Amino acid sequence: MNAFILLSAKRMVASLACSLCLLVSSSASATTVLGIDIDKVVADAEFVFEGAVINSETRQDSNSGIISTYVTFQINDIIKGDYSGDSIELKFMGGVFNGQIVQVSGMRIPEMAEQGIYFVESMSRDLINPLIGWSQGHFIIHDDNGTRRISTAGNQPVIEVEAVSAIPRSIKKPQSVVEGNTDIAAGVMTETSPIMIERALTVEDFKSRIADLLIN
Amino acid sequence: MRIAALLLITLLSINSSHAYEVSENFWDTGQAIFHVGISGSSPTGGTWNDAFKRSMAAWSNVSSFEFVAVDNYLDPCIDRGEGLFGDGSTGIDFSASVCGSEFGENTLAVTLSAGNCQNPQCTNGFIITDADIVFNSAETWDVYSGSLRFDGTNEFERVALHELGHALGLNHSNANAAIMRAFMSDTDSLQSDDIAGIASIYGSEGAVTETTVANIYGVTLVAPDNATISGPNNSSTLSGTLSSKDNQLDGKALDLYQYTFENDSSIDIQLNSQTFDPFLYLVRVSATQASIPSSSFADDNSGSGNGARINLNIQAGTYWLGVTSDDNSAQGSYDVSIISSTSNPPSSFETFTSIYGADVLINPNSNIDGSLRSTDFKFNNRFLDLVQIEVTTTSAVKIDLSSTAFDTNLLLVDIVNNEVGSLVLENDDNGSGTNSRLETTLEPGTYWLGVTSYDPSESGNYDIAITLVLP
Repeated sequence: MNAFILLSAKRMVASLACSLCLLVSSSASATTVLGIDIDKVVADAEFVFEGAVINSETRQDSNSGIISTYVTFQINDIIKGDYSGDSIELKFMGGVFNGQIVQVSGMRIPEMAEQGIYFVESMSRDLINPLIGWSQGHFIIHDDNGTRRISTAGNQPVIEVEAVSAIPRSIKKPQSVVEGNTDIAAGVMTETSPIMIERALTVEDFKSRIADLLIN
Repeated sequence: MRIAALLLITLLSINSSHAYEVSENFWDTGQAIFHVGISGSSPTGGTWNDAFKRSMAAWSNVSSFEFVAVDNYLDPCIDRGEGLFGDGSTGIDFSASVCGSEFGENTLAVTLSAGNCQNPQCTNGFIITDADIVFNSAETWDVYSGSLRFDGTNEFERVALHELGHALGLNHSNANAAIMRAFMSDTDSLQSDDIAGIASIYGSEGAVTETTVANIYGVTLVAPDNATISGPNNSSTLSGTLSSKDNQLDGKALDLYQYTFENDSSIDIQLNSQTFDPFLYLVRVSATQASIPSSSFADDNSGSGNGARINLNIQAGTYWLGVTSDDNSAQGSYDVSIISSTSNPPSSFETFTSIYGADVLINPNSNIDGSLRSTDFKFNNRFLDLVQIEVTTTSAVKIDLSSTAFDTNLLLVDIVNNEVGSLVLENDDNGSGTNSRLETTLEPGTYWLGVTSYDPSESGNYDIAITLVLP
């Protein structure tokens, strides 16, 4: 076994270990959600805000046995819509309660202390997932050495946001059916690896792109 | 890329070759009872119930897991006995809501799984006890096969197949052709990657799985279970994904698969991807896991579109099939098809007559089947077969010679300038029974293995197995 082979093998071990680290954060299963454009995400969301999760609790419906998770967000900035409070509670179907779980496949429930930008489909309707297009209306804020940057719900750094609804349907791919927990609205450009977060849009740049879409 | 092909000899690992992903959740009963009592029929494709049952049967037929269909309706959201959701009775329905909550604008169907957590936080998955599926009745549905329609009509059966896959504990697949792919496509039936995925959870006869070939520095060396190709006619497919987690070769992600062709074969290997420009290697591997340059092939665009294709006659042996891209950092799913035939075999292994009078077979295979015959060269009143192997890297090897027909005797000599050099090793019975075994470290060079018998004039079949001994 020569030194080159030994070096390659050790490098592969390191790579494998790194892969295992990444696997730990992989998500569970998914559901069937239509893929939509970022234009539609912005246009159809009733309320868009930057916020942070300050409370999360699960409750079980005494009739159906359905477990839901109630997430309270502190509202740091409102990008679209009107809301007077400092915080908002959103209900996500599914959760863990007394050692039992109800899992809505594909549901990615915001976690405690998570900061993000959330596109709420409706403030009044009781929805399985209150975020429009599920993960397509869910963006997470990461601290990159003091700079706050945006990634998707699946932790892919967002590097650009562009309107795509103007693209003629004839040259767009057919209506896609995506999965709720990781997928990204058309028009949201990403890096594939979370370690490329330094290339992601800052929170302010991202909000600026969203504001442009609102104007147009 | 040709230069990169040579670097392949230094890689001693084979990546996991599948694209499916499994959750940590599973049914410990190996069975799920679904109450299938959806009323009505699709516009053109028969009843919803028949379509759903076909989907259940499709999964049952390829795994040891069993879906049982009960012909009655059960509301997925009714009160369950003690008030707990998830009593093991699953319901299927079309509805405008899911247990009181609306689908929202873009949700077609939802699978509600319930179960008992493996730990209090449920971070280690759960034992599934229930998996109800609700289809959004506000959407337009039909049952049909083949290409997706572009009129906004959703195809029920493939969504059912997909949701049932989740109900079984499968996550997305990155394979191009898979019902568990995140994006719905023209694929309307279970593919090899789906079958491999479900087999990995519940087991399956005939399903594609992977076998650990070796473990080198903690890196698992595996081969698909359909990787031994014996002929006369074989076909094999696999799906995989190039990702940033893969080993890198010349700055490009690389997946390697090991195939063994037991006979000289005509092969046609095609590699296609919709997401990157694929590049294909086929490298013959010697007994000491070094490539044989004269039997190493590469192709970029000989297939359809930008697909890669290798179509040629090869000698029997062990091969590594390398999947990579033409571009740095390219990632995405791909599909490989292998068709082989032994009906028009290429020329057999090269042999030559040594200066000692014995014929020498040039055979780099790690496993060699042979036979001592009365027509063989005779040395010291014993029949003798000689096999030449090349060692390109200093290697610790274990060589086993076994036979049920005669008491074996194994020789190993080095060859310098076509003559026997200074190294001469011999063993009679270090293997099991009367079988022979040599364990030594070989420097780069040419060696002959001599197969003979302990007693005079014995003949019969024998096997040689050469194993690389890892530190």
